[in-house]
Amino acid sequence: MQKAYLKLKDGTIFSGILHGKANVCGEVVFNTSMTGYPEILTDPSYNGQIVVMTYPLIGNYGVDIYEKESSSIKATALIVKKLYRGPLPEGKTSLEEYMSKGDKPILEGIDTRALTLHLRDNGSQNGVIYLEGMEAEADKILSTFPKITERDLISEVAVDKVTQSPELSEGFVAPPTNPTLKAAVVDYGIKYSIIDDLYQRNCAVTLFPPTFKAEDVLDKGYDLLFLSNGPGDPALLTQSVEEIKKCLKKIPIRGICLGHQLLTLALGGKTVKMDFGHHGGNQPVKDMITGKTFVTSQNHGFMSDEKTLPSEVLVWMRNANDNSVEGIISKENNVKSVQFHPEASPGPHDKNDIFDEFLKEL
Amino acid sequence: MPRRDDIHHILVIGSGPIVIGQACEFDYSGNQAVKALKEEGYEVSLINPNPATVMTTPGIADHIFLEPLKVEYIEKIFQQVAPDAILSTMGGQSALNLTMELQEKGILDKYNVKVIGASADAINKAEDRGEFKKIVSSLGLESAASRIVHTLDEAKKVLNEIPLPLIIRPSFTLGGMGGSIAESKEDYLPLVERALEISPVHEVLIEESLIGWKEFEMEVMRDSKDNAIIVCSIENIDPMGVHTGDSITIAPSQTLSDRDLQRMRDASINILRAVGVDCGGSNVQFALNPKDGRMIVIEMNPRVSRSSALASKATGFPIARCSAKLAVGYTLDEVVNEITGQSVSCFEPALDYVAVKVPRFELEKFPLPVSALGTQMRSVGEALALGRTCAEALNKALRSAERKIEGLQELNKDVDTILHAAHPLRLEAAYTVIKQKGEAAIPEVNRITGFDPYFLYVLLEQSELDKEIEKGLTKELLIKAKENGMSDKRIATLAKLSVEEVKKLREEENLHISTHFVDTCAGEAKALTPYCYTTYGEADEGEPLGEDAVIILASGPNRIGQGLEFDTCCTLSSLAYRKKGRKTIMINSNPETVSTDFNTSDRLYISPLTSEEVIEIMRKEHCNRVVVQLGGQTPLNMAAELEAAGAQIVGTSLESIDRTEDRGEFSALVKELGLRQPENRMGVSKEDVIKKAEEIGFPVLLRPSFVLGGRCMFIAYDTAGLEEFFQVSGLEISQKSPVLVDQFLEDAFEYDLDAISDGKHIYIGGILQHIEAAGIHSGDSAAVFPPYKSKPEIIEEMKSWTLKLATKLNVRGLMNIQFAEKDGKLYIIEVNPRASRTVPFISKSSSVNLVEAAVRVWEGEDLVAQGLVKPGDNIATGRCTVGWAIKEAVFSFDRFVNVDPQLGPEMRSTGEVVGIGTTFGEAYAKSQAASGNLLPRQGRVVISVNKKDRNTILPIAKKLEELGFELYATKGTARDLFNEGILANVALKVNEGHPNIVDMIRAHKIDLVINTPMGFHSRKSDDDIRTEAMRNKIPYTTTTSAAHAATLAIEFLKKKEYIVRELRANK
Repeated sequence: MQKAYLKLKDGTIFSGILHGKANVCGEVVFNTSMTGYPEILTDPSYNGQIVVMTYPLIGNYGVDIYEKESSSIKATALIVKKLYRGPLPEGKTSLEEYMSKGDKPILEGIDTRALTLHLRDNGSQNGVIYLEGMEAEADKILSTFPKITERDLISEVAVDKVTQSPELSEGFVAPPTNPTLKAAVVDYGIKYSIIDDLYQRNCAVTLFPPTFKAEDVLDKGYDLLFLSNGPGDPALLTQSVEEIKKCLKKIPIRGICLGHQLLTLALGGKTVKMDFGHHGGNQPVKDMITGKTFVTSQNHGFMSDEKTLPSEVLVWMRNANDNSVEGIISKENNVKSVQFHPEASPGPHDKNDIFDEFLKEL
Repeated sequence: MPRRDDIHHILVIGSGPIVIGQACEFDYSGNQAVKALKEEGYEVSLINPNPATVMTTPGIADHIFLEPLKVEYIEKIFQQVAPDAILSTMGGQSALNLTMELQEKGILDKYNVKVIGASADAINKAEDRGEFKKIVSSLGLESAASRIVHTLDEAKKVLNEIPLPLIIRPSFTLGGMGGSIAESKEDYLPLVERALEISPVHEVLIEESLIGWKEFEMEVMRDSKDNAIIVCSIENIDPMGVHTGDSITIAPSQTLSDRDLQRMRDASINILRAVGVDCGGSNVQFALNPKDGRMIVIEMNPRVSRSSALASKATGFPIARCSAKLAVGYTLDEVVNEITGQSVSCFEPALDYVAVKVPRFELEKFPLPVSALGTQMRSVGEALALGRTCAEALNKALRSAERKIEGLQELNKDVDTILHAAHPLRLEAAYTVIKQKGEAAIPEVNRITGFDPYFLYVLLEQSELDKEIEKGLTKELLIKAKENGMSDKRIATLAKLSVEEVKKLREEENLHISTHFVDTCAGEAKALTPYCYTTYGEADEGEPLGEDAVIILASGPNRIGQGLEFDTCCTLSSLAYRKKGRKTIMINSNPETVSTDFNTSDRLYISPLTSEEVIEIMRKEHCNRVVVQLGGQTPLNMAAELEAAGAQIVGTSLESIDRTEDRGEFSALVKELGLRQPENRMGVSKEDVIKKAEEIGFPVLLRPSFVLGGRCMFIAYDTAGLEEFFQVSGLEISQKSPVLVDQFLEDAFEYDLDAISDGKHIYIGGILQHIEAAGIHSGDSAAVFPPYKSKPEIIEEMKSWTLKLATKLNVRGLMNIQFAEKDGKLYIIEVNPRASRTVPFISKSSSVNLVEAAVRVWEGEDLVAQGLVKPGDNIATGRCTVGWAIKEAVFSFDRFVNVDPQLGPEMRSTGEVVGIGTTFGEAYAKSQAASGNLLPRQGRVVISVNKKDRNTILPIAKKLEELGFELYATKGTARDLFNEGILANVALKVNEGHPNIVDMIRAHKIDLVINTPMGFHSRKSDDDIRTEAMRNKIPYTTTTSAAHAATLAIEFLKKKEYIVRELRANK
């Protein structure tokens, strides 16, 4: 435990205590979920980001082996107000130990409320965590560190070759032995829970790397192409978007989060970076067809730009707070995608039936 | 969906008087509901006989009825103002029950009134335990396993079906009497056997024990489109076995993983769906077995509740307001979140702090056996504190509860006993053990108490910090201590410094509070109308409101003698100030109140009401104008410290307040002004008190200085009585805390007078005459406005004395005086230059908002300018504009099986109601109906009066005979009646064998008891009669004046006239 600091790109400094290594850099984003830190830390969409939990008490229930969304911790670092270090139920690992095993630091004792308000008012930005007395070195790291829009965060978390029926960790279902559907899933950093939700619906999954080619998935017996969530700026994935375009009208396509943004691009729309994004488990989304509103889990810093969407594309879902696009349908292309996370984990299960919706009309 | 157009006029049912388990949270929710419905353009009627409430303030609803919550009166309202809908979910269990009764009796159909909020069907499904269990299991969820048995053989079978320990509950016994827990097979059958015997229907419920399991509550909202959200999860620090209302709770849940939380969330929403709650809020309670994660659904309430008020204040989500909007057809996505001003209500609040609720008990008034807490709620109020960590919120909440503990601290005695018992101080006992034994003690304390290790670790961290501070206070430790929510006082105790020294250190280090906003979204969006809590060591939010604002100190957690009435005064003052264009800052810790509603004041602080916190808030807000006279004793107790720190106390000076509080100084004042008070002396030791009592002559009344609600007051009839009292009360008497020994005016009439003074003029709002004789605390006595039995010259004398006192004391604002009249002579009992409990009552029944008038005085508008006093006059008196208004006290004795429901100089009532009528009989009948006192129209009356009352009882007995009652009387009384030609059956006194009066009451052979005290020596038998009457809910009067009142009321009731009267608007 050493005195340490977080310095943001705009020069603002916050002080705390560091557990783990220093001199790490990444985009600093906040998450307002009050539970679910293990899932958040292992969510590949957080790859390369420093996650600030707005809820001040983190680590309360330790970490269970079931609570993971990928094989390892993906966030660069965790920033909390207070870390719990006390006794835990049998079988649970303390968050401190868990992070330390994954060689990821925790910066504790930060005024996370002030940091959150700062990010809200000034936008998400890169930050560096450094030890007392090492500011000069940290400045160097920070000044040369690429912006999130310039980083290839996906190849680190996606599969590098085609993977049939990936096995998930303990606590998730096994791949279906007798699937009724087969999905070609492009892995940009997919969460276990998404695969789990497909498995639960007796849908087989074949993972493709982000460098997939249209011909790999067309006419190979797949019922649908599924584009996963993942970290970073969708606009960087120009090659992927081209391949997706080639698949339009040839296979039903579904997408979640980054996958939704890629579909926006493939359909001819644009995506924009949001000021600080939606990061939390309490976002209201309205289904514009049924008129029903539900609470969703979200984690994105980019979004579909509604005014760039072709007229044929229907805004299926909207954020009930800021009206941003949360889901689209293209009937012509048999495309459906959502910006939020129907698989939750962490967060409310309200819209888990999106997976049923996705597997309809194939 | 748009608002419903098929309804136009909605009747909102309030919850009636404050009783334990149903308190001012329903004033808060009802008030929000009325405002929300009015906003939508509906005509709104309100029925609530509780005059202390904010919701019954004229102008809030279109039609206000201070009438009993009874079917007959509601039917009259239906006839009179013709509402077409009734909102059932805002008035607690009382309103739900009443709605069900209206439904069953066909009244709703008859008048074509729709139920909105929760349908009768949904209420039924949620309330009927059997039905609810079926729903739970149909959803694949579990309820606690239970069986109903009628024989020992059936009971034996249960042993094979449900594992021990087992809870044994005899059916239909009062207050859960005869319930027990069988830990072993050997205990089990004898306990069941006993329970079968106790149960009048020989039926026993055997239930799986969940004691020690973790307990959670989910606050859910659902709308007609099946949108559903969880406003808040609450975790009880006290495990299962202690009523939620008596538990220390924390929000959000601390120890649930996301998986477990979502499991509970899904279950809650599914339950609401299945029960059919589709336009409002509900709560669902769960138990979780810490060993295997097994989740049991305990119950649900299909309405707003105490916990929804708590959740609203803890999160900023106004559940009641939103429920009202849903009830008229809106959906969650259509209701704007008023805190952020930009998001919708179909979201789940994200907290970036923790909220801890600590219950407030009245251990002094309702002494509890050690293991007293259980399935029945016993606490009378609660305090909420917010903090960035558990320790911070917990320390602040414990302090806010004003239980004489400075946060987490050691107990000096009975640690082990309390640790093993469900006791209000159990957490402190756990802290004590952990401080002594360290981390190693956590598993053991967890095993004994069921407190989750997570919370015990919070105690450990606190104890480690405390030990460090004990070794010597450093700057680093001071910072840490303040961040942990510790008070200067607690730090000083640990560091063996004075509070001033700690404060000085803090000033040197420039350690002051920082304000954080409650914004419902953890900072994600800018908030429009947030409210505040304070913390240390973090960035401050919010610009100071500045020196033009005014700080209003509210009254903190409800307690007996200081509750809703004061909150209403504070709320009304904030509204009055804002009307005058002055910004208000409200400070309060009581989450049940309207004063802590986010839009009552310009800025709200959820904060402990201590001088330290208030001084810090003054500093932060650059505001030193402080109102201390509206919140009862809590603000007054800190007024001197505030003034020393630069506060400018609004209105009457502290010096004047002190003069009335200090009984010695007050006696001098009375003498100086040539007024009269009961003879009195000051006792500075026990011996001295006895000596002074003998000088004055018995009976005497003892009262310590600076207490509210008559705490530790006592009437002694002889020296032995005094000695007994010293022993029982444990009262410390010294030079520093002397006791006043008063001549006790037995059988005197008491009066309560509320007035406003601007320094030159006074306006007397009203004078109340008590029905009970002196000796019963004014808060516990029925009181009549206007006085019903007094000579004009006595009234005139009261007025002139009031003017003298107000002028001499230079009172600015409200003052309350209690008078007594004995043998034609007037005495002053006490003067309180502050708002009293009767201010809201008098305001409503005299059509003058006294609080607003006081605020206008403070703002420089004198009483003449306000039109209350005629130019040229210096005094004016208000009148009762509603005919007769009678205030009746309401008690919660049924919560305390072992407590003697005796009335005396110490206040014990929890709430009040009013009865309004054009005749005394009507008003009294209604006050009794509203307080749940069921006066009979016919039947048997038993009369037992002391010699002095024999003459006054005669016309009453005669009247009762005329009204068709069968008379019973004890020997002496019967003989006197006989001599006057009235025949009465003889009833045996308690000590005269069987069947005696008590036996007759128990057998329900008596419908009315008139029993005036026979003096000290027959107190025991009087107590027995009273206790039995209270338990069996049989009306009981202790004075002939009350008996007379009852007779007039019965005469009125026999006419079977139900008249409802709309409260008139203020002048």
